[in-house]
Amino acid sequence: MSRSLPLLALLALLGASGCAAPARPQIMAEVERTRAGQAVIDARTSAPQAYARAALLEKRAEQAYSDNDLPAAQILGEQALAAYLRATVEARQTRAEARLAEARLSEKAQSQRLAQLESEQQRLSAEAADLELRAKVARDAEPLAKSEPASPEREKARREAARAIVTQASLLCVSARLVEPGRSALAALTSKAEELRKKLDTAAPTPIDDATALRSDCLRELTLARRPRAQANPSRGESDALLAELSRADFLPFRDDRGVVVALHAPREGGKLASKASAKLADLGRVAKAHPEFPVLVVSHDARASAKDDGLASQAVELLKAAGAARTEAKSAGNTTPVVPPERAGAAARNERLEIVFVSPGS
Amino acid sequence: MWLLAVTAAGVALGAADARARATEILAALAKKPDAVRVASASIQKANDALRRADQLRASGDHKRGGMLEETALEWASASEQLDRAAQSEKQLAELQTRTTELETKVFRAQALVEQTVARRARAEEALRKLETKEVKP
Repeated sequence: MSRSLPLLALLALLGASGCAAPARPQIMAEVERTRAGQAVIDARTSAPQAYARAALLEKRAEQAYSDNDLPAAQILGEQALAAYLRATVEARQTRAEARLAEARLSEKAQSQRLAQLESEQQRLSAEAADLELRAKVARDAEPLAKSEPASPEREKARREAARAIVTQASLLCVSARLVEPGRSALAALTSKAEELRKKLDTAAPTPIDDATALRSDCLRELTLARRPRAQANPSRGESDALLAELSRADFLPFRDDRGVVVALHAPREGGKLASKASAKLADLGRVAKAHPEFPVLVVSHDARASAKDDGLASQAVELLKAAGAARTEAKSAGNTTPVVPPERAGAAARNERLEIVFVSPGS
Repeated sequence: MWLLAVTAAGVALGAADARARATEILAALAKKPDAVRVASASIQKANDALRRADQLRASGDHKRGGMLEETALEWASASEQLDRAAQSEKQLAELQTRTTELETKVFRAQALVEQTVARRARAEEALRKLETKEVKP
């Protein structure tokens, strides 16, 4: 009996080793770990078909293992692993697409809101500008305290100021006529300007109050001439667009009561238009052609005292017309509206200029 | 007998189809540097499966060779999907940046509108006062 014990033990060991399952492929453990991961758990709900396919492949791998077909279990395990990866990526893509759709909606809504706000801003800005201008006109039209006689020096300064104001008034009235050619009140105002100019050449007391009142009247006429267009489309913003266009083209435009203004300095060369100014005028003529709604007023300013009109503005108008500008008018302001006091050094270079005014047809 | 032959032919055809599709997908992905970057591991696994399938087929084991080609297709498809998901996520990030910029613009535009409303109200009030003064004798 004692001799047969080791033999029995050996037989038992041999029997046990003969019945043991083959070693489980490592890939199957990896598949199990992957399936238990959070990404696959999430994919189960957001990519159920892909998940089910991966689970089926895992089941087939298990079946192959149970059938002792280890190579097939290995291959199917790899397939199951790839399929679980596909399920998680599909879930990732589904989430990304859902968020993309949301983001697109949000972008659309924000774009619409921005467009709405910009349009509202344009309208409000135009309305505010119109109200401000009307308030300015009303303020200017308020009766002024009558100017009392002054000392000779003061009287001289007052006379120069009155000349400048009369010139400004005339240019505003011309602008009003360019916007609305048939405006009836303008003829009387033009006569009044002429009358004041003559009076300023005499020794009579300076009609400064009359000059100021004339300027207010001309500004009011220009505002009234613009009103129908401004009311028809308050948010048009055409002057803003023109100002931006001229700025981009380096014309250094600015705005005043008349509209958008470009000043050309050193316009004279041997009594004629300088070549540089001519080239710029050709460019400005093309701008005027592209914006036919803006009539163009050309004003020449001379730095020389009591200089006569040398037809510089008319020459400029011809160039503008040649480049395609439709409605244009030339005016000479003489030396009545200097930019800097004439007695200052270098004043002539700054005061002698040609103003190209794109008269705003609306607000 | 004939049914067995048809099934065997179908299996062979399916495996060949899997190899062709896997190869096609991998070739398309190889042309996209971004895809190669985001799915490098699974692309490598697909290529590895194809290489092993070749070895099995060369040794006459067509059944397991076909299974490995199916595995290669699974990895290749996963790589393709990874590329698509990465593209969608990139697109989403760009769109979110744009939307944030738009939100800032809307915020500023809103503030500007409010300022202009106030400016308009001031102008209206100024005009009303001036007109009332005009009416008074």
